[in-house]
Amino acid sequence: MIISIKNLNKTYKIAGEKIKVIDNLSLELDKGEIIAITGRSGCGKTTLLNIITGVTKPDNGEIFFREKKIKYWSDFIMSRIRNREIGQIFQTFRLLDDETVMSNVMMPARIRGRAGSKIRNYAIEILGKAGIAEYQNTRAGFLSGGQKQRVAIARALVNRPSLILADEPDANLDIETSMEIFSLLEMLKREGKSIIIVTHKEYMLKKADRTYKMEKGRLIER
Amino acid sequence: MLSKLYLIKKELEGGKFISFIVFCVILLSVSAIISFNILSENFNNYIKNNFASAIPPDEIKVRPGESKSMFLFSTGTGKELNNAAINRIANIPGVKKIDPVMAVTVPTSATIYFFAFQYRTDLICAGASYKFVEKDLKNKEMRDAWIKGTHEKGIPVLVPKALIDSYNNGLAAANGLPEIVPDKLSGLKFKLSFGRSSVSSYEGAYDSSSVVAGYTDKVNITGLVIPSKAAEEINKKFGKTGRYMFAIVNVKDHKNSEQVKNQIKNMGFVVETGEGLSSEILKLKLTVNAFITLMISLVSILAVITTALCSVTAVWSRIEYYRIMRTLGSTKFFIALTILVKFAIMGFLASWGGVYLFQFLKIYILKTITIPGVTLSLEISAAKIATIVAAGTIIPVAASLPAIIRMFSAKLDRN
Repeated sequence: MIISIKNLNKTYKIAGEKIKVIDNLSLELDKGEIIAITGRSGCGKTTLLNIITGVTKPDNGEIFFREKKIKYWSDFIMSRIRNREIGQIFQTFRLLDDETVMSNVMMPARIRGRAGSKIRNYAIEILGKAGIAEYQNTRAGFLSGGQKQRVAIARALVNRPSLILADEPDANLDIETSMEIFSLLEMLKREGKSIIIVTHKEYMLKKADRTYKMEKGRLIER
Repeated sequence: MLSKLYLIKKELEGGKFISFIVFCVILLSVSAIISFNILSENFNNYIKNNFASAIPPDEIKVRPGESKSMFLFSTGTGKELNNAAINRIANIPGVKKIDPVMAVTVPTSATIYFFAFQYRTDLICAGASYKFVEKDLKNKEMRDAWIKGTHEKGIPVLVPKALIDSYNNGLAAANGLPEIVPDKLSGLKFKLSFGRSSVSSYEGAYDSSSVVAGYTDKVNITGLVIPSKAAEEINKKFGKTGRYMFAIVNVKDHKNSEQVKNQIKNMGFVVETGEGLSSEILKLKLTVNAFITLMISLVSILAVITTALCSVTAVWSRIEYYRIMRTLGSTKFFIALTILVKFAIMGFLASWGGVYLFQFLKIYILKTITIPGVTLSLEISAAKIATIVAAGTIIPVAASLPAIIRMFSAKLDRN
């Protein structure tokens, strides 16, 4: 088991009104498994991913990472997990546009404090797998949407994480590029990575091992 | 470690325009604060040199109690200023420091040889501590000698300005003798006799060579000033206990002055304070100093506000960068650290820039500004530079804290 979530709750207070975004949610994910989550905008999908990464703190509930309970209130512990165990991919790519592709990919390794030639060679290898090795010295801001997402995937992999969280990675891409990106994710699955993907695309939902619909803060298996 | 330094370097490079504004604000604020400080110092010096009495208002001169007797002469019934009394005064609340000047209580005379001319005179000697007369000692050699209490050429002595003035304006003028140039006195050698004067002679009286280390206006006696260590030894040799001619007591501020003065008076000593300073001048001095303090505070507050606003803008304009860094695994602490280091480095460099700017402009200011009767001094002490640079470093760091706290409390906890 890579990750196990039990009885998770999260409430936001908006304009004095309490809105429950995550309601007693439980989820388990095995090694090499892809879970796809779909649902209406604002239903709490991104909040769930943010809770898993530790960027957002839940009100209560338990999170186990590799069977070990996580102290999610500790910023230091959650930052360490986020850096070493989780790779994240976003619909807006979230690259540093003024930096080169290589600098972007190396950033998690620099935060970890390991940016030697070994990691650099690994970064070149994964950029090659993502099909953008020739752009390593190009500024990220000059790339197309599809190329940016490939850089984001390479960046998510540089610290060899066991879990990939992809938040609508295909939202800003055309269908052909989306399928290429999903092929990349499938390749990662074959390499033993566990993936949680938030998407609205039917072909992605079909290819996932399990598919959930998020409704009123709960996950309903489809 | 190198990776972390790389990330700090990245932070330093980010938001160049805002950083430039913060840099300029600190640089100009530091220059302005130094200017106001120098202005204040020059004004205070001008008042002190031209209007103040010999004793500055925050100083109290304490003398032994005066003898009271029905006859012309008495055998010393006045309150003696000794070590115990000095300790008691030093312990009065409000007293900052005390500089006692020791009396050499044995007959003393001096003999000066000048070519074939030999002049001998009885005189009194007083012992002063190194700290008290440090600024009057001409060179390092003499300063070291004063600390040791002796010099290879003999006992170092300081000639009181009052003595030089009374010689130049009295003895020299009346007898057609050449006047003494105070600055040229240093290095002059002569003979001192301890235990022997024209009036009396003690058993064990001895001669000692001595050398002039400079002149002083801190001890206005018609005698010579020697190191307190030497004075103690001379008294000891003749079996005399240590007593003091007078002591200069520094009080913390004006508020304490009256209270300390009264307490010393009640102990039976004679006190002199800077009452000679005209109240109007004192009022003017206080008003000008208050105005300058106000201006310094105003500049500092404006610098803090501007830096705080700039830091908010700088942090906000880079919020996406911080969010990405956090997403990739940076702790809040590390992000805060990079921002604080950036502002600290910027503040440090800008403060030094401000100091250098002032040092650079100093030459032109001295050339162009001349005020009759006023000698401008634009020197900044090393301690003051250190304070300014420290403040210049801390202010932007402190000013960036609200932006960091605000960012952490809300903006970083979502993607």
